[in-house]
Amino acid sequence: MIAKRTDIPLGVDGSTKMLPWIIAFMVYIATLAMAGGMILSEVAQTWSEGLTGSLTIQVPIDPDETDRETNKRITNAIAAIDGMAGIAKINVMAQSEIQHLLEPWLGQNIDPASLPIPRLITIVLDGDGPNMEELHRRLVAVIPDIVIDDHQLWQERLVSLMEALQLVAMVIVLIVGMAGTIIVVFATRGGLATHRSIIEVLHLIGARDSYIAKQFQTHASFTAFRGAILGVVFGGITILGLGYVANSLGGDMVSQFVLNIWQWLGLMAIPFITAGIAMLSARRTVITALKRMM
Amino acid sequence: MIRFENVGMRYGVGPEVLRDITFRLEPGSFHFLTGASGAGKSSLLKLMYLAHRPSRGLISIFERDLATVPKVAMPDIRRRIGVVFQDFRLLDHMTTFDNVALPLRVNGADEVLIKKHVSELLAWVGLADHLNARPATLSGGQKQRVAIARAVISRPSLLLADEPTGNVDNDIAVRLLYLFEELNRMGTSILIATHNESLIKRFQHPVLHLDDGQLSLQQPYDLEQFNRQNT
Repeated sequence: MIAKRTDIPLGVDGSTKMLPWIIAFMVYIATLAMAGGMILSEVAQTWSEGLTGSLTIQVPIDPDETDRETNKRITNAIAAIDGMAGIAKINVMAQSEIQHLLEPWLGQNIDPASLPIPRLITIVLDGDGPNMEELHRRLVAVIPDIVIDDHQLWQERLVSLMEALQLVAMVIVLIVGMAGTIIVVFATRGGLATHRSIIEVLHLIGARDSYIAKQFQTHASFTAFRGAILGVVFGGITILGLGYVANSLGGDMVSQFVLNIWQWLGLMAIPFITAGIAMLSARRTVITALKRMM
Repeated sequence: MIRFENVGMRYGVGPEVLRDITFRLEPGSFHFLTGASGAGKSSLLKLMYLAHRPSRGLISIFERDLATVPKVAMPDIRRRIGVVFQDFRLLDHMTTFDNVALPLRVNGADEVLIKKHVSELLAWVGLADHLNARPATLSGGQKQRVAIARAVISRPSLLLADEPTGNVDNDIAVRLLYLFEELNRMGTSILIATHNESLIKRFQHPVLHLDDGQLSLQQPYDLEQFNRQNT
């Protein structure tokens, strides 16, 4: 008789029966957006870490030059910077490696002789790296049209892109959260209108506003929690599915489409946060409405 | 306990349904409220159980001027007032037991005490076999008794009843009036709006009479005058 007793029969409202499903759908979108933001953050960090601590030097090819002459120029360039403070390792990238890097864009059957593909020297940095001005001066002295890429521009663009995408993900989460809050507010107002006569009786027998609000907020939080659980579960299944597809595609970039344990825990917090937001929204709506009653 | 001074009341922008109402109910008093249909009995009760604000005048309940009482203090005042509504206002989704227990639960009473007191009271009003019945399955008289039980369960300081015997036979009506008198002897002030002439005659309490929105106090009971006023 006492257990699960409520003074206001909010659970049998036709108007709120769809509420868990609507919340589930919105939480599903929010879950994907959040997971997307987390993955982008992870990818950006991995890429950035991969690029930091290295330099790439491009040695342009002269079509009239023989391989031997090109190799000599490369050897001279390496000799010019060898031993500089801040350089841990210098490596000349083999033609086959360069071809492999270009495969996604140019296909497997590349004829290096037909394309002016520059030769690449990779430098692994030690600590903060060498004095860039000195490095540039030494290399230009040997090969005037040499290109030094410290990945700064690439990194900045990458970080900007990732930040923009993360912002989009956050905005989506925010919009979904606001829309969810508005839905809860309207559902609560509907409940207040539907059960007005009961609320009047409760008021007249001495129920405080907080007592009445508690019934709405409890119902709203449980409803939102149920819906959010559903949304997160389906969102999680989708993320796992996408991760599986990405892994099967192969490649370094797509294989990062997975979440770590902390990120999964973060997603699992969504139902609790949703329930909390629903509870506060319902409470505020009821208290505001009851203030207008005597 | 209750003091009205030059109180007027209107609904929205309509005409005043109560005008210049001035009276005083002392603690432990017992009054009937009479008047023809539409005279303003229910409106007067609404002012007393804080369901409506007056359009003018002063209302003081339990020595507190309602104009200065903050909203947050209203529940405490309402908890000291038991109300039997003319249309019962039972909550259809609740059992008889839960309807009667509602004021105690709202007040945060212990469930063991609630069970004991509610069961006893429902037995007293003859509804011991209907503890788990829903209002929809009860007769008009049974609903009325549930409504009365709900109004008196928390031993209010003031009991306001709007036609509490309208749907019960005379024997039950007399029993209910005895219950009200018993409550009155325990210190509850009672005001009963009724058309039941035989009850007014039998129980010999002062009568507040409303006529076209204006109130007069009649005492002792005058049957001939009552008949003239209620025809």
